[in-house]
Amino acid sequence: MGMDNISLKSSLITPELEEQIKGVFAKLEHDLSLICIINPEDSASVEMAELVNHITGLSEKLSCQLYDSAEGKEKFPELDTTLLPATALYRQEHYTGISFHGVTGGKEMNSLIFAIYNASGPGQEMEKRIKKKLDKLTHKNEIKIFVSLSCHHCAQQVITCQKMAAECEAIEARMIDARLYPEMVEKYKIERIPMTVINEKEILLGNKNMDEIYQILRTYK
Amino acid sequence: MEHMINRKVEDFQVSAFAKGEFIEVTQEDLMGHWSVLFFYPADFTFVCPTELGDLADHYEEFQKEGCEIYSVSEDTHFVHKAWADASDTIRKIKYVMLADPAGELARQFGVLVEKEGQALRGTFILNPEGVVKAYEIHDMGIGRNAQELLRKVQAAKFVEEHGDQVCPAKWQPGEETLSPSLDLVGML
Repeated sequence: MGMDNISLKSSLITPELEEQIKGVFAKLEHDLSLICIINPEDSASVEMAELVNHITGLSEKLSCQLYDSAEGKEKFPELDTTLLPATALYRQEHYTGISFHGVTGGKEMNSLIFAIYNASGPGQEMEKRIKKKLDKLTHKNEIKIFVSLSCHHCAQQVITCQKMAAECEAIEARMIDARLYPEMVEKYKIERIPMTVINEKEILLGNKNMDEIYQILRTYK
Repeated sequence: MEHMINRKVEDFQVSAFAKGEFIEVTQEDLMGHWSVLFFYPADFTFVCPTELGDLADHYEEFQKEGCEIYSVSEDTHFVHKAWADASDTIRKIKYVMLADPAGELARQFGVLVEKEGQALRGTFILNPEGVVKAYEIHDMGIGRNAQELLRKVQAAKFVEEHGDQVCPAKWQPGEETLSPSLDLVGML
């Protein structure tokens, strides 16, 4: 399938779901671009592109830009284009540090909606003491959250990490649907999810709160 | 009937047959490590040696998990020895075979069929404090699977060490994307 033939509607979004999402998007404050880098020949890529097309069509604050892997790699060197589909949130052409590798179906739809809500504003409330701590971080931190779409704990962990990324420039939080990338399952020996990998060194299993995640991030100077 | 989850093993003292010797085993022996109590109806039956042999074949893997296995039937320890002498399958068993002729243990774990004097096929996984964390009870003729039991021991250990905020992952490439479900209650 070519890039121009990708539908603006996704079969994953039912009318009921659309209404729920519109309710959240009515509160959005700032413009946000969803950059979606895909392999047009791959079904998961096309599925995610349709989903992003559909979702961004539900609010005037949102826009969608689709790229194939070659163009995406050239235009967005800050993104990992080895795991496609890759979708990233940009605010005023600036990468928010929030990205998704895979199709955000199942429970991960929650992650995508909250990521948009948090990156565009007003966003979920964050305790001031946590925000103060995050402001002190200077080291660039990369957080990978490996998930499965049916795991109810995973979405919560993604939302937590991506909220931290939305509030702190030093944090990048990437959701990765492990099912789509068996090489990642093999590399990181993933048997249980959510599994969070911080800076390729620290591994967290299960849901962790912001304090617990910060305790690891603060050790990187 | 009340369930057994999170119930602590009560005091008991029984004779046992282990590695060719007769020994005494009490609840104290179950402390400090994970344990599996593996009830079966009686020695010298046909289904039992199959599943006890299966368990013997996986015994090393249980030990690597820090888990001891105790098989239990309502026979005496002398009968256990006679069975080991008569059966190649039973002779290879290295775990402890508890003798519960008075039904003390089987009654405590709710698997004793009083009028038959035999235990149902009950399997109980106890943590190092002697507390039941998982169990299953089969009718007499339904056998069990040691590999599945090992997985349950590993899962019980994992949850104890990491809490219950994780999901086991069974990767199956090629599945369809799940339909989205939104749960925004209390989060916005």
